[in-house]
Amino acid sequence: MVTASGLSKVFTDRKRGAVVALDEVSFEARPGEVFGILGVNGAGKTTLLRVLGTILAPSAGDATVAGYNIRTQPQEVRQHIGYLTGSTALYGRLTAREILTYFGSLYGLSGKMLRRRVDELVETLQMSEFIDGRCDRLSTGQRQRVSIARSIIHNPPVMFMDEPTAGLDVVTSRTIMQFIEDSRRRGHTVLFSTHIMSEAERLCDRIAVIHRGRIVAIGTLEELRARTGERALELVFLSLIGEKEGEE
Amino acid sequence: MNRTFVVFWKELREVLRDRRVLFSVAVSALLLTPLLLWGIGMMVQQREESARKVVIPVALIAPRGGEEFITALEGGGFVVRRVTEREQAEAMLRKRQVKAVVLLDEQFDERLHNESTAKVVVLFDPLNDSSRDAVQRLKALTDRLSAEWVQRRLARRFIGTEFTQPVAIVTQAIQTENPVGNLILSIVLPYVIVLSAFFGAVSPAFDLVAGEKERGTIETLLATPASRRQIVWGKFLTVTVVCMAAAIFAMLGMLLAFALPSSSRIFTEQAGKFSLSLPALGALLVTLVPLTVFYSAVLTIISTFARNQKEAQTYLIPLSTLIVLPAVASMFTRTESGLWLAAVPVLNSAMIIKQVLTGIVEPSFVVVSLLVSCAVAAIALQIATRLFERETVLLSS
Repeated sequence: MVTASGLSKVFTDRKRGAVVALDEVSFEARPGEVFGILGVNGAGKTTLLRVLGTILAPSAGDATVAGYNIRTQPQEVRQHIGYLTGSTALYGRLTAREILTYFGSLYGLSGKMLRRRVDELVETLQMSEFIDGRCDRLSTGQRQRVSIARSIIHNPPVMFMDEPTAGLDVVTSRTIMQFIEDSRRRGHTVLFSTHIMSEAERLCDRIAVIHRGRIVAIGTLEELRARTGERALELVFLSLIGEKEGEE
Repeated sequence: MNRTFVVFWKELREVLRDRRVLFSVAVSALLLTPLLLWGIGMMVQQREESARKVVIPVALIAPRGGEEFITALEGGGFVVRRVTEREQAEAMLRKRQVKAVVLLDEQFDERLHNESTAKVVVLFDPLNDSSRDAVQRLKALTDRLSAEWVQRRLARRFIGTEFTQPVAIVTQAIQTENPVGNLILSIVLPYVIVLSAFFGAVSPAFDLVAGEKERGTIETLLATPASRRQIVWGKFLTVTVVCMAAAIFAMLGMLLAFALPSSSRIFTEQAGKFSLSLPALGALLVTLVPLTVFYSAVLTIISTFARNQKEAQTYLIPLSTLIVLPAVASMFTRTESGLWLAAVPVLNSAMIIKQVLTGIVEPSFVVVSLLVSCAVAAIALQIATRLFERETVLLSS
């Protein structure tokens, strides 16, 4: 479960002064739900996930992740989330197994439990062919599978996915989509940020449309369609952010 | 395991697999330094030998007499080309047809036999190495001849050569705890150690934070339960270990180079005679601890502040001067220096190494130096930690 209440984030930029990246964002994402955060580039999707993941501190408002407060219990929050981005960058000089062991240790796993968990993920994500190979020699698809394994090594109840398919080919994107569907089946809460309409349409149970740091609408796809009177998600989205033809 | 050590072991493993680091820390120090010094030694030896063998052409203007001197010249490795005009001789020197011009006094023989001073003027080209070598050879020859003529003059009056030297100084070096080679080592080694410790760790230090920002792996690391302090300390510890390893390998490489026979040709014959006792080695390592902690913290600060490795390299250029200057100063600073030097970071560590090598350890200097080094290192580490905890700095790639 993730709840955000009046969450704001203001950056101070030397040239632009105060930049509002998040403006009183409130929502609730439930277990077993894929909660989409849909917005154009620079809308505030990444900042929202970073604030919820306690990588950034909020300027105002509050939130809880898996029952832990992001302001007062940041370490517990991070212990209960899996964080996956579109970047497939890994530590090139380590093997896939070493990376999983490293992150597992950071999440507090050790000994037999850690080894068993790594073996489990190797089997689930079909990584046996390359698990002991150095990451700088892996293909993009293999690297993304390692990234997924890394993000769930501690079996987190909440997943934050920040445009996880950005720049990936169709086959690799499909692996990610299947992984998100699996997470939902296992009852995890998934926060999934994207600007790709088809992905949001296919995966999300509910969608929050974010624009210039503000959430302009939240609902199921049908609810958003009913609200805008549009059928295609692209038109629904444009209508909600006020960028439809003829609108400001 | 504490998360700081989890980060440390992972970073260390990565560093040990980085060929650039292995080359700059170990291979270069253990192989290139001895090879370089061996090469220089061989060149020096070759130059000395060829200088001894080579016959030097000189132009000679001798208006009258001077035959004995001219014969000595021809027998002393010079080819004499007699000319009559000074302009012609100077032109030959400019065209490098001769290496020097020798002008004999008009009354050369008379002055010599009248127990006066016969002058030999030597013209040379100051920009030409062989011309300067020729002057040295001519001076040596003239000094030898002069000594012979003095003996002859004294013999004519039945006076012994002791007459010209009423007092003679005889120096005798006492048996010291450390061999003389340690003195030469104390000039070179502190310089090499303090520079190698810093520059050996530049590449991994920049890779560990700026590189991680650049590659985009830092975000996932920050999303783990490890606190920023634990992460930065893990990285800082790794850089410290690399600094220390770079210093130790540089020291071993230098000792190896000094042990080679070629070192005696570059420095002095005594260069190869050095010793380093176990307590001295321990003292050197203790001195290196605050120095490497300071270096590691400074490099971590740059790496954290920079958006990428290229930007970090830019910040490194002015900083390098602050490290190189005290390192160079240590070569020219006497071992027994004022206590104020103990307050200068880097130089104070170099001076302790110098004192340990010569066996002239001043306890007050060592204590103040170590206190200053520890304080500076602690401040730098605190700044590095604070900087790493700033979210804007970390996500500024």
